[in-house]
Amino acid sequence: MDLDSTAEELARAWGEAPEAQRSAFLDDLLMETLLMDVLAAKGKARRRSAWVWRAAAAAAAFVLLMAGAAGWWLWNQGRYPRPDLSGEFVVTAEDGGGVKTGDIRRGCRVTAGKGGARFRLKGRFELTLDAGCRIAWKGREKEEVIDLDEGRMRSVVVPKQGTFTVVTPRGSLKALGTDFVTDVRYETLLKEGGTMKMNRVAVVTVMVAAGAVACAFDNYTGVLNVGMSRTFAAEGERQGGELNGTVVGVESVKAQNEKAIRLVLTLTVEGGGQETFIAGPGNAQVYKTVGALKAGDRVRLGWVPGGAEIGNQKWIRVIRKLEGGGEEKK
Amino acid sequence: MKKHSGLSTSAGQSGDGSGCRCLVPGWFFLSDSEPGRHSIMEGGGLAIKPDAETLIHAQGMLYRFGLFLSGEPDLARDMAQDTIRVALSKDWPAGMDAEGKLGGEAGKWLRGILHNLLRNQRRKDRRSRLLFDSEIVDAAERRFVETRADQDEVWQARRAALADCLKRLPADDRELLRERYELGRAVKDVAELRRLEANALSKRLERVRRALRGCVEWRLKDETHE
Repeated sequence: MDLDSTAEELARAWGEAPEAQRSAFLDDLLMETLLMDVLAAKGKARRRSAWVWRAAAAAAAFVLLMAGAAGWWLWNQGRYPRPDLSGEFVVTAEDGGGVKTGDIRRGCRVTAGKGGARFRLKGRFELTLDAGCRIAWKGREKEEVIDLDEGRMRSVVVPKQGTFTVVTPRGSLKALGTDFVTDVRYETLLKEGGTMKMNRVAVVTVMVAAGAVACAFDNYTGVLNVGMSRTFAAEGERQGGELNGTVVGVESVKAQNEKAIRLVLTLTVEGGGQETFIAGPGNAQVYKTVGALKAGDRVRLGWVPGGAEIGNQKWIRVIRKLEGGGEEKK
Repeated sequence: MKKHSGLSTSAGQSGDGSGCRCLVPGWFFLSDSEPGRHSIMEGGGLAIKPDAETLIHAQGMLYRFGLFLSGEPDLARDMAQDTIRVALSKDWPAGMDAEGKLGGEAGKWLRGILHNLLRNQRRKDRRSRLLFDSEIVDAAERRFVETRADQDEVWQARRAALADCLKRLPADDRELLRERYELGRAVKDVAELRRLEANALSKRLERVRRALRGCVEWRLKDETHE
């Protein structure tokens, strides 16, 4: 029983082999896997490198031969490049599903792994994604758009090949034939204000290494030139929580015209203490569910903090009534 | 094994605090929830979805397991990606720990998908050498998990140890490994080039691998003691 046997031979030999031999075979198999992982990758890189040189030589010869053939040039102009991804990454489709290898389309999202990744559209742009960087490839031919959700991305854009825009949570950047770095990160800030509140803040930093970048942000519209960098901060998603509790009571808060404007739900929260949560008529399902609750009902809810302008209250975003034993009602 | 239900990928967000914030629309990864945590979904039920880091970890683990079973790096890479694609279209079993890393059930489930894909591939391509006997595959998977080959950190340590051990090999053995694994030549082709019997070369390769295994284990123990 060795690694160079066919699968059928292995299956036969396995049945007859003593335990020690099987164990040695698996050890050997694991060692070969390690060797392949280390050496095959090295070989592939070398072959790719050799291939690049051969291709370069072939291309040079081709160009010489066809120097006078304008038809090739015209034909080549009509083709739009296909994306090329390398490094460590995961690609998901726009709807969140998986993507078949080599079938990367507009709308796909790319998340770079620990080793980072490179996303290239030959003759248009090349993006270098740092570890953890998340982008979505959007736009259309000659109007390229990259949504940068989070992380650091360097964009090298070929000039005069259509537009290239980076959309961040704070605003958008339009490349004017350039090399620039965009960094989107989130900071969690604690704010005092009646109750403790956590705000998630998106911070966007742009650094221009070559050319220029046109910025369109809430509080800044202008052009950043080579050597310039600027940081833009914006309030992003607010974080809330989820919990179980028992209803103490539901109170309707009314406006001067006696019209109910919100419901205040008081709960004895599992783990101790009483807390109040708000249901607004804007979320009809939540409003209806809260309106039908009675003292003693058990619920599970998810909440988000409201802004300072509405009193730093906890707003219910989803709620479900639980059965007596704590099981969720079907 | 408890499975979740009611997965929604189109959960919206709204400014007044309504709607579900568990998933960014069109994006499978948990955004503001901790990875692997249960989240109430607007459509009902509980959902567990892997975050990006978990998917990348899964892809590395699946590549290694695919390579372990098939001995073909390109095929293993494609199958790992295909497994993620198939897995993302399904409900994931519980089994990720609090940090969103793959635990027993989720890892086993993913390896099961990969094995099925490899088996289907083998039906299409009879030339491919793939482990398809379920008894061997079960034993191989047990060994894969026992030796913690499914853990990135452990595997990276082995890679580093192997790189060091390769330098200590006699030049001819190193060249032999280069021809077989780096250049990806079949044993019979290497044997022909070296004017040797394929069986003899196969045995020699086995001895070199055994020596390397001993070296790697020694290096790892040495590092642990240091």
